[in-house]
Amino acid sequence: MTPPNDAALQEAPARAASATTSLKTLLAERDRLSTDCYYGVTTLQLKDADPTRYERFYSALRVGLFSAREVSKFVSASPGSREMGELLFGLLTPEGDPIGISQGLAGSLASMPIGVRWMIVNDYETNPGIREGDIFSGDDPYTMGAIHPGDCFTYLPIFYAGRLVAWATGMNHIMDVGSMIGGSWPPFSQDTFTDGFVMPLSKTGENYEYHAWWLQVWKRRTRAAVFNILDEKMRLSGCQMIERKVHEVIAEFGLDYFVEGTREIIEDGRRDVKRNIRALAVPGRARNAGFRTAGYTGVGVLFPLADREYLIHFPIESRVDGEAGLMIDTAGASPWGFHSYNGFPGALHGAAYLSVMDGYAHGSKINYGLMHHVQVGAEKGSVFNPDYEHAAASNPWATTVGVISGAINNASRGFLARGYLEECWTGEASWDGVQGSGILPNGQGWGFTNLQFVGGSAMGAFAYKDGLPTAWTNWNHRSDIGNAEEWEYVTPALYYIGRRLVPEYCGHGKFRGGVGHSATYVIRNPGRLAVNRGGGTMARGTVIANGMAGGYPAPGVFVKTYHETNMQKRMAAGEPFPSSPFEIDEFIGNGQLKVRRSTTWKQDTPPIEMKDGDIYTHASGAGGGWGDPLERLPKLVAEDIVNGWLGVETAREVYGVKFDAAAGGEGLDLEGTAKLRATIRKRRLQRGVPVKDWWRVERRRVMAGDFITTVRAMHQECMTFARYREEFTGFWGLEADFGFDDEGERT
Amino acid sequence: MNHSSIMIAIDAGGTMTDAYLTDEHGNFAVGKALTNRAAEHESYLEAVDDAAKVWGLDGATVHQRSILSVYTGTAMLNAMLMHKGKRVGMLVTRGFEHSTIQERGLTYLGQSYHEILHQRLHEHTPPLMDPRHVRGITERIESGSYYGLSPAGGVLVPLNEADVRRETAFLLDEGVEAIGIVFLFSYLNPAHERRAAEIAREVIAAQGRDIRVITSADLIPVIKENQRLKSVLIEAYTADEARKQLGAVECAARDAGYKSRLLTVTSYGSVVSIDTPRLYETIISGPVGGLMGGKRIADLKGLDSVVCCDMGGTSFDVGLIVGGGIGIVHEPDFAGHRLALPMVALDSIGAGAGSVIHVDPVTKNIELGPDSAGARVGVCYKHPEITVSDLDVALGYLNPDYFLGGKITLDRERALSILEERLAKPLGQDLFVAAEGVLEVMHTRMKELVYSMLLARGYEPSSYTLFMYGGGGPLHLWGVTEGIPLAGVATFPWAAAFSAFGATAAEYSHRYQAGASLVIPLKPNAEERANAAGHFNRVFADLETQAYRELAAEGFGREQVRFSYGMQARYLGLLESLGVSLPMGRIDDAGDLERAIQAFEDQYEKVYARGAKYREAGYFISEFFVEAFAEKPKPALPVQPLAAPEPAAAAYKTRRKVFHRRRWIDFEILEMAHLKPGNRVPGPAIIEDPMTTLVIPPGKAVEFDAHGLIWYRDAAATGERT
Repeated sequence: MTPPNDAALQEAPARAASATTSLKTLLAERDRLSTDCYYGVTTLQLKDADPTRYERFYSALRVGLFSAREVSKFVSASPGSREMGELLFGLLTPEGDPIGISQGLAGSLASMPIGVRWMIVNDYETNPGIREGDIFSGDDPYTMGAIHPGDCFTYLPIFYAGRLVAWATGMNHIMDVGSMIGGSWPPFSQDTFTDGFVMPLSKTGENYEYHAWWLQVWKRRTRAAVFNILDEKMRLSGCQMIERKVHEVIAEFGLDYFVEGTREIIEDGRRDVKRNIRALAVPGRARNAGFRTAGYTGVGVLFPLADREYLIHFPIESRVDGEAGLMIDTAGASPWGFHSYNGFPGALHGAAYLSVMDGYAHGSKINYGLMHHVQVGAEKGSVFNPDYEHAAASNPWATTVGVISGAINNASRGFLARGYLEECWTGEASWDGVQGSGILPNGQGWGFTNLQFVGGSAMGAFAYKDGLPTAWTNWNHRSDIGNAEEWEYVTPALYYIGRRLVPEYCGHGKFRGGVGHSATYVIRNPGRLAVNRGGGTMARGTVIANGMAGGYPAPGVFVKTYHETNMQKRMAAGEPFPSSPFEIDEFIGNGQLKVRRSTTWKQDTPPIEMKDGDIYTHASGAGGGWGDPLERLPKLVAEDIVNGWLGVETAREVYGVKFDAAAGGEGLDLEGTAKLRATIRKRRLQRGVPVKDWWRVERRRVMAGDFITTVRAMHQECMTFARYREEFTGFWGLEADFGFDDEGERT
Repeated sequence: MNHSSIMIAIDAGGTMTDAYLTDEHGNFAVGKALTNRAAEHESYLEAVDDAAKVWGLDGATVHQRSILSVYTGTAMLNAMLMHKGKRVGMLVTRGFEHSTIQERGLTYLGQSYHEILHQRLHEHTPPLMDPRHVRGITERIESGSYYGLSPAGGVLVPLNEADVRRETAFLLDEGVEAIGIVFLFSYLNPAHERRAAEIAREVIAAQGRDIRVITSADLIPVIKENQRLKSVLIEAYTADEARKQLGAVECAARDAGYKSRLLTVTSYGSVVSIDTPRLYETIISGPVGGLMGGKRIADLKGLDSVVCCDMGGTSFDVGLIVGGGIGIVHEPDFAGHRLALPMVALDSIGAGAGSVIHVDPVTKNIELGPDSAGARVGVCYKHPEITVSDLDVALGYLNPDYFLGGKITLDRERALSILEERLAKPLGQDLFVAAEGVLEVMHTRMKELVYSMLLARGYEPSSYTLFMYGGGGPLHLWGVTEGIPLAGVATFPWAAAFSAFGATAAEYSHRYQAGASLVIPLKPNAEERANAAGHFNRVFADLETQAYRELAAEGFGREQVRFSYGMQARYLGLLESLGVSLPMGRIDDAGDLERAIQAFEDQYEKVYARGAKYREAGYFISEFFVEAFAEKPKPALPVQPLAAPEPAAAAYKTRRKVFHRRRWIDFEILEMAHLKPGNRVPGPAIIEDPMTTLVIPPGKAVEFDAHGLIWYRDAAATGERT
């Protein structure tokens, strides 16, 4: 098959669209005309001629999309979809460009054109044919831009008077993806063949009904067949609602208006974003950096190619030009590797566009216009654009969320420069999920993903106020962590013993980030069960939450497991049990909780077998800080202590605030605080060195390769890309062909 | 005229208290008073007095002749908005102490689409209580899960009674004035919550205090702990003060001569005594009345499929009557909180007569609502921003000299001038073309809401009759219904007071529910069928017992109570249940169980299409419910003799030019009070009333039927003004 974006298409002859015009021809025409403006729409003729009719037209289509999501999600079995709205519907042009989307997982907007383009370029129109009532399904990151295989898509072509006039599409994040590791974001995968059930778009049904074989595939190839099949039905149900709406709209407005109007809507959306960038940004460039670890050492028995430690690096550079153009560039990122965290362009673009929605799409029509205006860069061969089509891509969202945060923070610098203080905040995109698989005592196999902490995390600090706990997610504008009671119905053996916020678990600052949250489970009656963790940040690699304007970064995620405990006994006796990571430590410390063995993870875990009475606890979702903690109002620090979010020691060491815990609400010592802060400032000055001196010392370390092996390998690998090499050698004043002696292993 | 048997309905809003009186002949009178939030009984009496004047009576006479008084007040909402409720303490399952802070992460509730996209604007709703007063108790009940590995409602961790004593004492030391108890899965096994409540009451009594203790298992025993917690919190926070206010209103009514109990409106579409043990069920009553009125009219006319549309000052609310019944939702959002609360199913958009219109001068994007001018109407009166009413005045639909019967004069010239500046110029259009265009945008959105309510649930509009009411309803009826192939369209002379009419028309009923975790395989064996039947019958019997007890306390004997039954069911694995009525009430044999399952299958196919069904998964019953009805008087809608089609000469007031369909047309202007049953008014015409305005465009006509309903139809081919 031909890969997407076939350049040959650009040269295809343009023809007027009609019922007999092939999709290939339409696509070529669309590409030829879509230069600066979308599809050659230089003036919004319909809007200018009758803005209110145009608005009615747009309203009708948007209502159709929203309605599809709100109604069809009730068919879904996944708590992620039903309870938390982890789904998205879109209406696309015949060429695959989103005209509009519902609310929900908005980043998947980026995937939609890739899937349709793939079908067109690869002659699906001829074989298997595209007819009214046909259903196409798939989840392949490479061919259809799915962010990861856990995101499954259904496409329904919409015909009118025999002509394909649009596509309806629906996607959602499923419970289990059929990988060698249970769950929906396998943290260990060497290549596509260990990513799970990866399916390019395929015709899975006709006459609005799925083929029986397709439902059998879900049963045989995934561990959560009931959930996944119902999700598939949910997507089709929503697509049919969109189809019905399109028919109504065309009946009222006419086909010509529909075709021209949808192109205008896209161009209108593009202009909205451009206008907002012009109003809010400052021409120039802002940069951020993201990192992520992949601890694959030891997997060599089965996967020798993957047997190593990875430190994945990716710059996030936002460049605004004088014409309000925006480029979000990751040039210089690490090369792809034999690990789960590569992503094909759909994943990177989805993340980058989410950051644009956050900063520059207010009041706009969210559609392909945004994508058309904003450029996203990733070098071929890099972790976000592998030059090997079977590269693993089971969990790129773990890395690309760093792009969201970095680009949001880049945008905040522009807002600050323009004086839009209330728009400035520390972007956070932390997420986390426990997942796994096993065989229940009744012999039934099962797999699951608990998406609660994908549904909500803390906000980073603002330039004028603290971040809030459990308050947002960048990728789903309707944040929601669901109810524990719903989750327990679908995750037998994992019993919640706590869902709590974690004191001190935030980025400190003049304004602090929102505190993160934790969930703790006791395992009971599991049969055979192995759990693992998929997630978007880890302490070993702060990809997210760098903090801004002198604020601290948020702490990373951690997972702890405890084995062979006396929890069952305590619980049966009605004795208090620990309900958060730190309480577990206390209970162990005072002898109440007996534990024979425990594990601590600051990166994704391999599958860990869990037995009766074991405990799994994880924390995530903390927000980064804004500004120097020494500038925080002492009374806010005191309030945090009184409310239990901050300890006296941290208040003293980080914030320079003296507080007498014994005095309770009256414990703030303002005079002592002033003195302590003066001392800390003095200490800082004593510790500081001129940049020139620092550079000289550090350069010597660079020359000597004085880094741990993983870091050295990271630099060496990144230098295989010219951009990184130029910047690295340029900054440190090195020879152009500089390299380390013991090259990081290049796979 | 003799008004010997009167019903009173009072809707006390934040600003105004509206009174509606109806008598045994179907006559009605409307009155108003400024709401006195500190002493609602005073504004109650003033409003009744104001309405009584319409009939030449006084408030005391009306009360002496009244057989019913229904009151919806503001005390609960005010307590929430002003943060002036009780100091609440909460006992929760250990490990869930931060639930009131996290509140499930729902920081977008009540926001507009653009606010939702602009995530910096997301905020948690203030928790109404000190989060330090949420205390963890060692205990745990289990769900059994979909996989059925352990019994639903089994005890995983016994209740630690020492925890309860210690934490209750702590809360009392902190000065709490009410205590709520919300434990995980208590809807499957209430034993821990109830025992904890007993202990808490012992501790309270030992300290000589009198504090209410509320358990979620007794208030709203359904799945989802966050919503249960919010419901318990709001009951604890607001109910006592609201009960005092309602009690004061009842006393005032009785002092004035009223002899029955004061009733209030529930969110699920009924009226109950103000002594109801779950007063939080009455917190969302505003938009409910209209649906109840619609139900009354639907019953009267023998219609079982009706779409009820209420256009007020701020919003356009749509609800459905399906199969003669009103749909219920279970997790409504209210004032930033997501509650566990059965409520009539209503969808709403910010499109009311007072909705504010913004036009971006650069993008030409048009924003409608959600802000509303309220009583300030628009720039034609006292509001600084342009509104839908300004458009109506500018285009000629609304008479500037007859607003509220002429009590208020609207400034049309000012509206025209500001519309030119803020609407026509930015859009680059003629003022009247632009104004009509924006109205069309609003009508489209309203129409889409009607469509989506119907089609999204699998219902065909052509089998539905549409009722339109609310102060702005008759004014925009023509635009909303245009092009929808409905079975019929009707509005009412009393459209502006229709919600109050609905309150008098509602059934007296309580709704009881019990969460469940009952799995029924696709092909159950004899034992599984027996188990399921036992479960159904046991739960229904328990709920009936509770209903008899509560209704007895409200003055109803067993013989006065009748029941309807239902369940919330889903395919095993799904997370959303569908409400299904079970007329049989008991599962006596395999046939009954099959009929219950089939009722669910039919309903599911109707809503989600055949392809979405998944019988292979089996079935899961998540909730049972019983509605207990008691007798109460209903307003009369007597049949009146039909007059000739041609209205009396006195009905014709004048003619007015209206900009309609891009041209100025002469509309006949008539007075509602002079129109009689049997009259027929063809368009173009406008019927004016002090409370509302009905627009009949060319090609349409209205007919007043024997009950006084106004049917809006296509004009006949002959003899019509078009």
